Amino acid sequence: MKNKELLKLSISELAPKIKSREVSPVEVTEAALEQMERVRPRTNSFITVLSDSAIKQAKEAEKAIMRGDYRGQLHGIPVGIKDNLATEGIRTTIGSKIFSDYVPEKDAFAVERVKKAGAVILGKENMHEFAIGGTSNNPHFGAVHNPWSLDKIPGGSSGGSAANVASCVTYASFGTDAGGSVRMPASFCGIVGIKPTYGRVSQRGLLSSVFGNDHIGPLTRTVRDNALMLQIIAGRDPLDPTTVPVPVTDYTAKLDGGIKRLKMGIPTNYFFDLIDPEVDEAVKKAIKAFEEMGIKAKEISLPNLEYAPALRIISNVENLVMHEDIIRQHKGDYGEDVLFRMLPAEYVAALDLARCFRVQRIIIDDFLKALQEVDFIVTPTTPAPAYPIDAETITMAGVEYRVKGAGHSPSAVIGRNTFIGNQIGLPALSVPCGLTAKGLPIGLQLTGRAFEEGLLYKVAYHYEEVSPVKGKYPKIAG
Amino acid sequence: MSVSKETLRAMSRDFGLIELSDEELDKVLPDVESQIATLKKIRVLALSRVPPARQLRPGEGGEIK
Repeated sequence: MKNKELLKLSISELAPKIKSREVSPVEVTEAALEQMERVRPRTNSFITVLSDSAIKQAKEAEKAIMRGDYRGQLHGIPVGIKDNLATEGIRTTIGSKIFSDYVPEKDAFAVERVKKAGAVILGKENMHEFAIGGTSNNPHFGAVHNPWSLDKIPGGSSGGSAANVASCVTYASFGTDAGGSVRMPASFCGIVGIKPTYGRVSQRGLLSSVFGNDHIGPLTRTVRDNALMLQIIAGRDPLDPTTVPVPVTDYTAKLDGGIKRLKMGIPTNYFFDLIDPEVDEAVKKAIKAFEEMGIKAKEISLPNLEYAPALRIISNVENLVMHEDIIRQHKGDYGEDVLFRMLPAEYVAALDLARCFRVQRIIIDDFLKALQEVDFIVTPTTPAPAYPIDAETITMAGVEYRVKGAGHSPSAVIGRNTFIGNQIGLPALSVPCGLTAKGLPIGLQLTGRAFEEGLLYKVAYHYEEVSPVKGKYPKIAG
Repeated sequence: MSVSKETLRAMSRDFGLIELSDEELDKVLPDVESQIATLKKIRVLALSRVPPARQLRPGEGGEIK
């Protein structure tokens, strides 16, 4: 099999070939490393490349298979890890100059699991500094470029992870999502990404700024692969008190089960208030496709989203609590967008912060009430497609929005649909639903009830079959 | 509502916050003002009987076995 064909296989297509010894882990890893060397200079998607250890892991994976010790569908599969997930003995920068030489002594829980499953780690992936931002324009390691259009952002903060999956360098990558950092890059790069329920995946070893709303989630080219990846990391971790002892269902077992009796909620406010016309059209076509599959649409109202900016204050305060001491010592080593996004939180009074938490609760209640009437909620993942890396403004429906400079965080615009999910804790998945006239991917966001990731996967799996993006890759993928 | 740099400077000094230069205060100010607008908007909400955000309710987190 040619490298080009090999790299475009999904994990669920490749795994049986590895298991049956038709393809060896070393062969796959060498192909992925060649692809990396071809693509990486243009996407800048890695901070640390692990070629030697990847070949070593691949050889070990191959030996294990030869002696009959096949560990499952990730065995011998090349993957990437965002550089804010701790890796034992391998530097983990969090995309920051301050931590550019930091070498953790232990693996993050997710890294432990992926290694145990026999995956091959190709490298640590570039990201937005400290995972606080939606562009991946990293001031220390350089901007990550979108594989579909190299002058555009890939989204963030897991930009390198999404770029690698979309350009067929990795078969899957683990990202993290505290405000849309898995779903935004998934949307901008035309791949699948999930933010699981808060408490579904251990955050141990995630070098996070906001433990109250951070989540680890996989980025993949197919829904089935995403489900496979989440399966590996989902579950209670006694060493992480944020995990919840809810049994993990088999996410792939019921993917092709019936969806005809399901109901989808279409919000009448907030999510479609600020939207690019091409995104609006693609999402509405997806809703129509769901209806043709027999899913009933119901309009829902989420009235308290009027107060959604209060949720951003919670997030900014949490960020600042984690960073305050570091800022006092290294203020000059922060990128301007990250620093000036956090600093205003210094001036929030305790009573006001307590009010923000109560607003968080009434917004959660809006969603829970809606999800008693419908099974899942459909929205655009991002209000607009990827924009140029050096853009000062973006225009939607004739209105210009600033996305650069103090007081103009791009996340407030491009992340407005995703950051809600982090604050309410419910699972949310992004699946590609179209391409703009200029060939930029558009993402559809599905939000479900707590711990019902399986239902989101089932719905997305059915939609994927009719998605206009099915089988399409960026040219750079080869 | 607007807030002056002097107010922010005094808060930083009196509450031991991170010290910011004049130029940095200029950059912080727009977000502080938008933050104040958001907080002013939620102050009128009846929030006294709203339970804590992270309090789990039966059924909310799925079935616990």
